[in-house]
Amino acid sequence: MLRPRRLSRRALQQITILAALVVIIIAFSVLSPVFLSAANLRNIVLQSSVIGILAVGMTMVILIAGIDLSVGSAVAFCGMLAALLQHYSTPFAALVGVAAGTAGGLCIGLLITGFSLPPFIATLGFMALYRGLTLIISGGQSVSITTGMERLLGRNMPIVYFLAGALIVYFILNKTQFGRYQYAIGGNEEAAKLSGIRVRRVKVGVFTIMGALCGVAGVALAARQAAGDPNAGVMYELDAIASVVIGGTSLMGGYGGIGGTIVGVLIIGTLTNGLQLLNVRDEWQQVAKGLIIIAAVVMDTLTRRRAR
Amino acid sequence: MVAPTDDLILQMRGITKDFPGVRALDDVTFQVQRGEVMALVGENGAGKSTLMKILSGVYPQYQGEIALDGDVRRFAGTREAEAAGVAIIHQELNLIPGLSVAENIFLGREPTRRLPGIVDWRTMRAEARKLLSRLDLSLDPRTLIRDCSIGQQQMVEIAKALSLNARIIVMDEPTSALTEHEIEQLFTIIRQLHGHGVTVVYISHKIDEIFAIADRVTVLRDGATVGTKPVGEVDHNAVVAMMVGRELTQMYPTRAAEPGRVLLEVEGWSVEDPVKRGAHLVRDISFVVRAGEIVGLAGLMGSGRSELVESLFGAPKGRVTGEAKIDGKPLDTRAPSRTIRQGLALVTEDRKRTGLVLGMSVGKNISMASLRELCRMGVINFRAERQLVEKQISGLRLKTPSVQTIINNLSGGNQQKAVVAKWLATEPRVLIVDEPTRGIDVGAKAEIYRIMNDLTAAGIGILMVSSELPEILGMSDRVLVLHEGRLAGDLARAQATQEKVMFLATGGR
Repeated sequence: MLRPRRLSRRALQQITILAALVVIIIAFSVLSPVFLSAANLRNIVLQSSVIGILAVGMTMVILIAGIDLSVGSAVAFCGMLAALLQHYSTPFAALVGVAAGTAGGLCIGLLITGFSLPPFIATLGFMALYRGLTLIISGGQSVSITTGMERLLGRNMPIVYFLAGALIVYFILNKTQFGRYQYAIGGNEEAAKLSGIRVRRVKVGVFTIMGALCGVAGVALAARQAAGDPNAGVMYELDAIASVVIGGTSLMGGYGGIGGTIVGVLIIGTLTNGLQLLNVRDEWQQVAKGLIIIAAVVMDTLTRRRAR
Repeated sequence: MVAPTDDLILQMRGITKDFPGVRALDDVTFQVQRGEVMALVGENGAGKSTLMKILSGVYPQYQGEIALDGDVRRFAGTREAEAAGVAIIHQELNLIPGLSVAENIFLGREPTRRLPGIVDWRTMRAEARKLLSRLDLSLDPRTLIRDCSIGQQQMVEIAKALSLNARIIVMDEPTSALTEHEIEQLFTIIRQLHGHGVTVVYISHKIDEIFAIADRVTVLRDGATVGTKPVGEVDHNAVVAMMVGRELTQMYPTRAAEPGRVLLEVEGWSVEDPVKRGAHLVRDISFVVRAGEIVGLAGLMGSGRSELVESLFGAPKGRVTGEAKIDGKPLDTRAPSRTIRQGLALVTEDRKRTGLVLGMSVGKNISMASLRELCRMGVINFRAERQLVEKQISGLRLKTPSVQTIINNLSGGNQQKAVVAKWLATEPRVLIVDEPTRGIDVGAKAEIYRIMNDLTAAGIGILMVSSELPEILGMSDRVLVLHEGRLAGDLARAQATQEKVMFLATGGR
C-alpha cells in the first residue's frame, strides 16, 4: 500500500533536483546572452569535470556512510607528481600520479577498517598530509607542463574521464555484487556483516577507487592547466560532497546513486559559471553555493523523515 | 475510593494496560508495605517492566489506580513521579560517563550561588559526600563515572534517588552486571535503606537473591498477578510453579522428524566477557544438534543464549575458546562469511537492527546472503536472483506487493519470513533461530513453526533460542537450559516440563 507513495517521494526528490537545474539554466540564459552559447556550455561541462570525477567516487564513499575530506589535497599532490615527472614520458608521469592516488586511498581504507578510525578523522589527516607533501615536493612553486602532456591529457579530455568514471561507477553500483554490498553496508552495517558480507573489504575497495579517481582528477587538472599547482584543489572536497548531497545521496548512507550526482555536479558547475558571467563577486558566489548545499541537506532530511 | 491504610505505602489496583494488539497488564494488583523489600518476579514479558513504567510515570495512560500513602495519584510524567518520591534505577544505568559522581547526582538541579547558572561546586561536593557517607561509601564525589565500577555506579544511582527524597526505590535487575562482592555490598545498602524509611521494589529473576534480600515476593505471569507471599512461606520450587503454567496451545505442528546423524557438535565452548575481566558470558558449554532435530535453547534474559549462538556464527562479543564441528569437520568461526559457507545460518533476535536492511527491497534483502552464488565475475545475474527470490517468496508464502517493495513496509510476520528466506537461500545445514516469533502475530507464528517443521523434515538441524516456554516445549525435540552462561540442563522432550525448565533457568539444582 505504502510503496507507490514512498517511491514517489524519492522520485519527487529526483524531479526537484532536475527542475532546479532547468530553472538555473533558464534564469542564467535570460540574464546573460552568452550563457547558452555552445562555447560556454562546453566550458561549464569542462569546468565541472574535475569536481565531477571526484563526485563520482564520493558517491560510493557517502553511500557506505563514509566521507573523504582528503580529495582536494590529493588532487594537488597527484597533479604535482605528474608535473614533476613529465620529462620521463607522459604515460609514465600520468600513471605515477594515478598510482599515488590509488595507494593513498588504499592506505585510508586500511586505516579506517584496521583501526576503526572514523573516516572523517582519517581523511582530515590525509588532507593535511597530502597538502604538506605537495608543498615539499614542489618547493611551494608551480611547475609548468611543457612536454605535451597538456595536449595529450588536457583540452577536452577531463570530460571523457568524468563520463567514463560515471559509467563505470554506475555499472558497479547497479550491476555488481560490490555495488549491492555498498548499499547494504550503508543501510545497515551490522545486518550486512551478519549476512556474510565482508564489510572491511568493501570499504577498502571503495576508498581505493576514490583514491584512484583523485589521481585521475589531479592529472587531468594539471594537464588542463598546463601546470602543477601546489594550491590546486583547495575546497574541492566540499564541492564534491555538495554535488553528491545535492544529487540526493543520503549522508547517512544506503540511499542514492550516480544519476543524481551528475545533476548535482552540473548544478554546482552551472551556478559557478553563471555567477561569473554575471560578474557576481567571488564572496557572493560562495554564499550562494552555501545556501544551495544547506537547502539540499534540509530536503534530504525532510524526505527521510517523511519516509519513516 | 481507597481508604487510607497505615502500613501500605503503595497500592496499585486493577491496573490494565493495552498496547496496540496486546494487553500487557490485565487487572494487576500490587501492594507494598512501608519499609519492606518487595520482590517482583516473572518470566520475560510477564509485565514487570510495564508495571514499573506505569508507577514511574513513563506510561501515563492506563486503567486502574495508584495510591501512594493512601492518596490516589496519577503521574503524567517521570518528573511528577520523582517529585512524589518514586525513583527507578534501570538496568542500563542513566549516568553520564564523562561527568563526576557529584555532577551526576545533582544533574539538572545543580546548587547555584547568587547568579543563576553559576554552579556552587563546593556545596554540591559537600552534599554529595554527605549522601555517599549515608550509604557508607568511601567514594570521592569528584571521581568520573567512567572510572567507577558498575557496582559503584549503582550506588551513585541510589545516592541520587536518596537526594531526590525517594520513598520508594525500584531496582530493575540490579545485580545482572555485578560481581559477587558487589552484590553483597548492594544487599548491605538495601538493608540499610530500611533505616532511612525507604521502601524497595526489587525486580529480579534470580530467585536465590530474592530469598537473600526480600521480605515478600509478588509473582506476575502473562500480565496478571499470580500472588504475593512472604518469602518465609515459599521455596524456590513454589516460586517457579507460580511463574510458569502457561497454556500450551494447538499452534505447534506434530513433530515427526527422526533425529539423524550429528550435524553440529560443540565442545567446551566459552566466550569471555569483553567488559568484565576474567568473567564469561558463556562458560564451558557442550552439546550437539542432529539432522532433522529441533534443539531448544532456554534461559532467562542475560543467561548467554544469544551470546552462545552469535559466537558460533562468527560474531562473538568477546574472545572465544572451545571447539565446534559441523558435519564432523572443524567449524571455522572467524567471521560470518566463513560460517555461512560451511552451512550455518542465523536468524538474529532483532530483525530490524541486525536482520534486515530496512531501506532495501524485499528481493535484495532475500538474496543478500547468497548473492555470491548469483554472480559471475562479480556481476549479478538478475534473472537467477529473481528466480531465487520468487522461489523463496512462494515457498514461505511471504506476502508482499512485489519483490521491489521496500521491506520496511511489510508486516512484522512477513519481515521475519524474509529473514528466514534470506537464510534458506544459502541452503544451510544447521539453522539457528534466535527468538523466531518475537513481535509477530499468532497466524504468522504458526506459519513460522510450520516452516521449521518442514525444514527438519528435509534434514536440516535447528537450534532455537526462545524466551517463550510454550514455544520451547511445543517445538523442541530436546531442550538445553542455560543459567548465567552455563549449561544447567540438557532435557529430552519427554522430561522437559515448564516447571523443570524454569527451575533450572533460575539457578535451581
